[in-house]
Amino acid sequence: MDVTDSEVIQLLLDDTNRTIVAQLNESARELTVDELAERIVGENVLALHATEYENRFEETVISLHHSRLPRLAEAGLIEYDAADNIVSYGDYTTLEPNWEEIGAIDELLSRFRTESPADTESIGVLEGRDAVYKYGRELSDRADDELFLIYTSDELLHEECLPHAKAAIDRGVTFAAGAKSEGIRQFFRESLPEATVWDPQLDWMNNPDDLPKISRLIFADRDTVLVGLWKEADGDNSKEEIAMIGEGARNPLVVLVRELLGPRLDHLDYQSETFMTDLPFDP
Amino acid sequence: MTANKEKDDTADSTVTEATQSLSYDIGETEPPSIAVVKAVAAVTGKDVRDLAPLYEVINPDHLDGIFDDLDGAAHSHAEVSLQFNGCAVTVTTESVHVRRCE
Repeated sequence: MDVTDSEVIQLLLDDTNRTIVAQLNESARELTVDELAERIVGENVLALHATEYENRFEETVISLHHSRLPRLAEAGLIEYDAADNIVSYGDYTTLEPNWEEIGAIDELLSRFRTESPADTESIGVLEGRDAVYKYGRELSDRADDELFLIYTSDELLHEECLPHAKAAIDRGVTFAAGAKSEGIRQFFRESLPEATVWDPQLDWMNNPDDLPKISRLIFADRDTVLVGLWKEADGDNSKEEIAMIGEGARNPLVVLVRELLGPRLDHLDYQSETFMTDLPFDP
Repeated sequence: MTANKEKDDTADSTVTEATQSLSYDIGETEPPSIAVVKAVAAVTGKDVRDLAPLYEVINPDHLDGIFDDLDGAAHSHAEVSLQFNGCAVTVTTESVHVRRCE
């Protein structure tokens, strides 16, 4: 992205820009400039005289086509076809994360490593499986819209997590879980019939030995994330689990996970047939 | 042959057919960037949606910002000239003058 993050944030500080992005998200299809203008004008007023409405509508169309849309497109937030006046949400089917850059990502994350997750800029680290479970349950309890989980091994699954997951689903949270083992998937399907369950290929996670391996991933509301990692304990062969926590939509870890997984998560909304093949985990 | 239909500088801004040049009075609360688009649309006879976006020439917010800063300042004068959709456009605090270029 040529445009800096702070420019993107500046753009999103503007109400109308946020409305544009939100409308695209909600409608789940391309919108014409006119449709977008209608929604923007409609949102701001209860009733307008016909001529007043027309004037405002025309000015909104001009502002969109000549200013806002090109600017948002330049920042990579949307895609705009100026010739046909069609606005869409970005072509994420061509998103190809370059996993060779994992080293660079590691370095980026290590710059933010601190003890506690209190500061939104920093990435918290938890040590030990109990701490990871506890935080995972807290995340489930706090989620409002969506919980997205990946479990890479059976031993991570704990019965006590279920009530929290069920409670979340009852609250209306969309729940999706990926698990490597059929046993876990079965378990999820039976205990949480309303969850979306799938088998992630995870080949990218089984990379060369010296890279830390992911144990689990929990992504709540797309603004809080827990990434669990296996840490080889020195000396013996036992494995310890640690986790990295990112809180807040602007947190570097959250932004990273959202960038990599976010567009695919959109498919969850529509139970897309291609969801499973579009995940970045395919070999 | 196309006749050179020059309109005088106090022309009404509601022109409905394509002409060669036009002076458009900027409304009191109207952003100059919006005025530019409307004026050029009038001169070229095109719909605002079919013009190439102004953003490709100048960020409309920046254009408006120039004239915003002048608001109320005594003896203030600014003039911005640009090429937009095949027209030579000159913007002042009061008006937008558009001349079609071939």
